[in-house]
Amino acid sequence: MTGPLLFRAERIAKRFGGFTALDSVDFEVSAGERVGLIGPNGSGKSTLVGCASGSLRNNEGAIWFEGRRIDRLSPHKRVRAGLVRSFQLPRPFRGLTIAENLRVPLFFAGRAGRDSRAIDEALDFVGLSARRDTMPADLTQVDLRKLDLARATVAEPRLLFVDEAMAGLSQSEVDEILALLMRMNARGVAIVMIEHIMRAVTSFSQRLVVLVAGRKIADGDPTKVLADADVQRAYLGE
Amino acid sequence: MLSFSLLSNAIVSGLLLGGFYAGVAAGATISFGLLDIANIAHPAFVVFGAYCAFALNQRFHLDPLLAAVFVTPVFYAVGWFAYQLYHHAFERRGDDSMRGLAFFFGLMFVGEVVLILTFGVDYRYSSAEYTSTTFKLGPVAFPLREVIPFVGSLVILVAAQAFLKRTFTGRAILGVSQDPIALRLMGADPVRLKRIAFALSIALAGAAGALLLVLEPIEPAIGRDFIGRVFAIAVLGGMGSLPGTWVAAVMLGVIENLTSIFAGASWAPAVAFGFLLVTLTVRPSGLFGR
Amino acid sequence: MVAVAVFAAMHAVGNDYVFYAGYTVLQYVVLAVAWNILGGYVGYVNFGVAAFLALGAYTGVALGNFAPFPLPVMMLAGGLVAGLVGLGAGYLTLRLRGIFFAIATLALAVVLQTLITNWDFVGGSAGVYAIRPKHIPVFGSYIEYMVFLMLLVAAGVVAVSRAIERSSYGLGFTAIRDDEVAAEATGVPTLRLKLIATTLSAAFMGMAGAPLPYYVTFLEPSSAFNLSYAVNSIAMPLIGGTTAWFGPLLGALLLGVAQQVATVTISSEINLLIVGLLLIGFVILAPQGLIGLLGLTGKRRSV
Repeated sequence: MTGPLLFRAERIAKRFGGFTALDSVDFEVSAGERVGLIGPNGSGKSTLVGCASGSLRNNEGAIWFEGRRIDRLSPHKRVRAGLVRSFQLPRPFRGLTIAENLRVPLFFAGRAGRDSRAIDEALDFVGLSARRDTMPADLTQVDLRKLDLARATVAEPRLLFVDEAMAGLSQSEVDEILALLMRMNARGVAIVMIEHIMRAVTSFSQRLVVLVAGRKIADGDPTKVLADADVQRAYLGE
Repeated sequence: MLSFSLLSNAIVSGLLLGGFYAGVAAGATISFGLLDIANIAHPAFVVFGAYCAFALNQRFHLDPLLAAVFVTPVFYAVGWFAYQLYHHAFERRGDDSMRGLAFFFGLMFVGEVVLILTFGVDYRYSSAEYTSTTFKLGPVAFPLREVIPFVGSLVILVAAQAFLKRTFTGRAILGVSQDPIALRLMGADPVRLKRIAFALSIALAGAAGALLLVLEPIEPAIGRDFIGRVFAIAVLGGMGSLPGTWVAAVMLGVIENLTSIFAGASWAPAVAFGFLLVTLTVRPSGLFGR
Repeated sequence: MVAVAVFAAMHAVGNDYVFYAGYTVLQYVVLAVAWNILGGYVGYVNFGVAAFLALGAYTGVALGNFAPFPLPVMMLAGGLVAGLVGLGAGYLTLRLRGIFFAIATLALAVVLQTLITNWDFVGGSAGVYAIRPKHIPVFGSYIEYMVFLMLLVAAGVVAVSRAIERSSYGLGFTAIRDDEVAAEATGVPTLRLKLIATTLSAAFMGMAGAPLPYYVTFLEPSSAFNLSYAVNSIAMPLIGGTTAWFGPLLGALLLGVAQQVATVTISSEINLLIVGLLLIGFVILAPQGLIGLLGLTGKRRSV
């Protein structure tokens, strides 16, 4: 069940020196939606996430979130507004324990009047309660990913960009993360999943968007998109 | 009063000095621009190179240019070991850059004190005869002590550029600066490549140091003047582009020299920092940035 | 309370030399703890310590040229000026990577030294004399007065440091230090926190600098801007430990006292050489510092 339009990027362009990473890309997400974003390496997926989250400034185009223009907002302000991203490689705060890692968004993601129970809930939600006093250096890959997601949960996002959270994980670990993301979505969080693991992305997404060389070449029902000749040629058939 | 003679001499001198600065900064373009190692001790290595050339000059009456030939491989080895230390202590631990900076700062400072203890704080000169010769082209003077470092730096830069662009190792180094993961997939060892590159940067510093001795009298704290210049040039030149380094250095040299002559020598250091600040604010990728 | 006890102890010794030495040690306590607020907690290196110290000193000189203000006023003024300059420099450069901020602090020191060397109102390159006032409130001698004020500033900077550690600011600082991009992506207002740290750090350094003209009685730019201030201010926290206020304090006490004792026996160059070598050694071998070696860091570790 998806709701009203939550996020809209219109004719986004991003250039790095002479290289055009994004070329007039339109991208929308509705409340509670599950969108998959796929494309070959270097097609601009992470750049799009960067522009959406604010770590990159788009050269052209406009970005709206909940009806507000957010182009000029710094990343931390977007987080407070409810737009959160995770990173391709896990980025925990290495000098803090797991629980303390979660204190950061608790304090700073702008949700007033919450207490440390939110940390317990988040740890419980991702299944890391037993490891709350461990240091990130002692965590496995999949647990680090869970920590990233727990951190995102504490920030209470309305839209979450998950950037290749399953890279390097085993089959069962992929399923674990997938289940987590489904549970997050069931709570009402719209999720954009950037992935290369096709079975994960196709089973997760209500809608599939394909980026190739900075351009969007498909946007719609996953089965139809994957059957599309252009998509097959550009992405799968290479 | 603005006479043509004064102005043209200032510009020419600035050009020659700038060309020399390029040689000093070449190593930093590699270590900072390509390898992302904030080695603020780079000018200290240059000064060390100058003192080595001085010692060789004193003891064996070796011309600084010849001394450069001896100094360069020694400094390559020093750089090799320095990178090993840096990598094991900082890069490998994924440590915060604060300690890496403190490390290089400590190196710089200790180096300076060692020089003070060994050579004293007085200015030291090289006893090469040609350093007082000057060519004249009309009203414009071309002092040999400026021309030689200019040419020497050009040689340094051309050689370094040839290495980076034409040799397999050099291209691999350029590759590692762009995408270390892809490189590892190809079977190359990024650490080994970075070690070679860093060693090269220090070797270049040593060679530039010998040229410094030709240019002017040296004293232990002289490296501090170069910190600002080196980083300004590295950034303005595009963080890893040697041709860009040369152009940026010449620009800096001219403007710095003009400032020195018309506003007073004490303002010269501020020029480099001002350059850096403006570049970082306006166009952080530099003139030739990737 | 500790400050009063320390002061009473020093007074009991009765020897003026204790106060002279004590002043320098206390000055370094302030500089080290202040440096650590930005360097240790947030991870941004300030090489231009001397610039902020000198700002405090020369603000005092400039004010003194107008009227004989009492020392506490000069210290507050020095702190204010240094803090504002720190804020301004931070605003220009803290959006950039740490290395550029570090170089900017060096630049600040260079430019400031040039400005002051050319400004005759505060003595220019020739230097300026600062004569200690005859009338001293309460204390036996002016040096005792200065030491007492310095103790207050030291107590102040330690208190601020502790407060930071316990507050959400400290958490934010640590997040920035560990991974600034992740911190920003977790909602931490990184620029604002960095500016706060920089301003506080600079302000305390300025306060420490204000009494300097009266301590040395003759102040000239080349000694006011001496790089040894930076080396010590960086070495002391890195040797003592950067994760807690106790680290730079320990480092400053140990190194400060050692240097005071050593100045009679070894040359100042060798003294600084040792400090530099210790800095390098600790940075490589004992990143947690002395408090780490002694097991005093608790769970929070600097990585």
